[in-house]
Amino acid sequence: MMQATFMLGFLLPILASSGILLLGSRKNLAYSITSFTTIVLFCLSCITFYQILKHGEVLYHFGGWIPPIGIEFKLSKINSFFVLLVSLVALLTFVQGRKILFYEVEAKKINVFCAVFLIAVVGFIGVVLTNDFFNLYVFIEVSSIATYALVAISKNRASVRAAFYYLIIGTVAATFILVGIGYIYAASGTLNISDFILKLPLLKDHMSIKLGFVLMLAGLLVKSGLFPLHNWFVQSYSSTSAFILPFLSSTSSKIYMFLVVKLVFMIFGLKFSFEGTNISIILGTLGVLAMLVGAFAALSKNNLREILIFSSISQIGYIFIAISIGSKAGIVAAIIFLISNILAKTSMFILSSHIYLSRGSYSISKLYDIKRQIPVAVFLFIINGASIVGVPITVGFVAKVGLITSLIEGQMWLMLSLVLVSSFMSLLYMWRVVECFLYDKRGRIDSHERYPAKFTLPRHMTYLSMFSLGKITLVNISCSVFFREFFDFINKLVS
Amino acid sequence: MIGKIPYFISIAIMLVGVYGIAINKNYLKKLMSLGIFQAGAIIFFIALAKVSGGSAPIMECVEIEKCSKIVANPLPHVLMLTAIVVGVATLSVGLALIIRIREEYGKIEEDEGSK
Repeated sequence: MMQATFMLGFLLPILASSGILLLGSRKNLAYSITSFTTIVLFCLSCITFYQILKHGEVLYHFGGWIPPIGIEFKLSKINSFFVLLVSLVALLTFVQGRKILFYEVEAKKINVFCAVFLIAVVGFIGVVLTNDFFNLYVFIEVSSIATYALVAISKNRASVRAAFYYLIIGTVAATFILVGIGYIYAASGTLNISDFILKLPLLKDHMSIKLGFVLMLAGLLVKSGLFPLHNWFVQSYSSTSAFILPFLSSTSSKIYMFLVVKLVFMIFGLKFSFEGTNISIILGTLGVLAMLVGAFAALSKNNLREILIFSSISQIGYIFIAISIGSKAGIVAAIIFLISNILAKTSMFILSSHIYLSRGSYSISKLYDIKRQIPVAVFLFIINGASIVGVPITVGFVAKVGLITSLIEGQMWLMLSLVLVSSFMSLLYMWRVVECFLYDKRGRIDSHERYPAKFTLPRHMTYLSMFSLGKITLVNISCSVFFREFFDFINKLVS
Repeated sequence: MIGKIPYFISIAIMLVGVYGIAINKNYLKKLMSLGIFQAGAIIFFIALAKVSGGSAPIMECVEIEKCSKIVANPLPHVLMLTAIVVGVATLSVGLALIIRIREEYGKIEEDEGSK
């Protein structure tokens, strides 16, 4: 029964997206169908997650073929939790309201946009759930191709070129993953992940397995936008439409980071990944560089969107530092970081696009004193910013505590001090933004000129969106108030 | 040694593809190099499927366990059918993007000194 519920949810976006394309360019209808689908998907993934917490994991075999031959989906606790997060982000993206979508995307392209969006959601859910190496590659490509198209559907002409570069680099990375899978298959003779985990102890010293691991890891690092390979991330996210940005920033690179966690921790295991290899040093160094470069770049930018994008790059660094510790505590810290980042960054990108629409500019020097215009949005923005910095009573604080304790356990003092330096820098860049929002540093001018009457909150931000963002922020805070329970919960998910 | 030649060839083709992607300034040529790069990966998988002395995997008896015929491994071939389809999808999205780039910028070459 439960399997049927879930597979229905998985099929629903595919059906809806083909339906949207068949109905032609009716933009309101396309918007309504997509919103309805994301709501249903979210409810279904909540039910699935609850059921799996209660009754344990479920394996779904496609077409009734038993695993080493057939393809299976693994609904484990952590997988279904990430499905919940993906569908939550999709829901939040679509409750932003049709006005901002119609403002950002050309009218005749809206039905295509909605259809591609649903395919991307399916792709990411498939990436999280699949328990088959080749199926993983196919879902990575499905989600990536949809993402390239989503980046390109924007009124900003730079986005097309950014999408093209993203396509080139994304496909090269995916092909690396494919060749890695080929090496793994050549040595183990299986594509099923559970089956492979059983065979791994015998094959540990096989060169093909090591090569396959490294190639897959390299592909995933490109896809997650770790520091020297972050150029596509900056280009495509700074030029794409504001409507889709929350979805892209919270799924695309974050899901690939979850795959890195899965690869080193759940598939190959910490012993294989970290003992006698340089992986820890490489990931740690790149993580530290990403963290510092991202924070410096965010400090030097004046554009709100670019500040948030470089802050994301810095956060990617933290997550890879947590992974590079190579202990279970580090992995738990990485997952908490991912969750806190998905919650905070989705909210911040949504709020930033509303802030943009109420002043018509992303430049923070033009966003002075915006708290009078949209007080609730600014309030939510500040709380989420505090979560990025890691201020107590937000989930970002829990994530930082987890990271710092596991660094102390691993006795990595240099890295610990660099993490603290970078945290301080994140405080600085967030404060720069918040200072502009709260105070008018320009001197007084005519109030009529200060707030253009046509840009007011209800026109652009639906109350539903506001309500759900408020709720996310509440979740954010309650996670840290009950932080021991939250820690235990994540520990339970991981084991 | 001779058995390893297909693997070297596949890696060589992939390297040619990467070189083409890095060197060419024309977007269309970049995309063609990407196709060559993917072809390298496909040849790698096809080389994996070879079983010495094996013929086409068409079984002449009903119960597979009792067949004595040596055949090539059909699975990598099937996987590569999917990979080819994925590659075609990527290339067509890339071509569509090139058309848009030409509409927006009037050319399909990289600017000197910028990205």
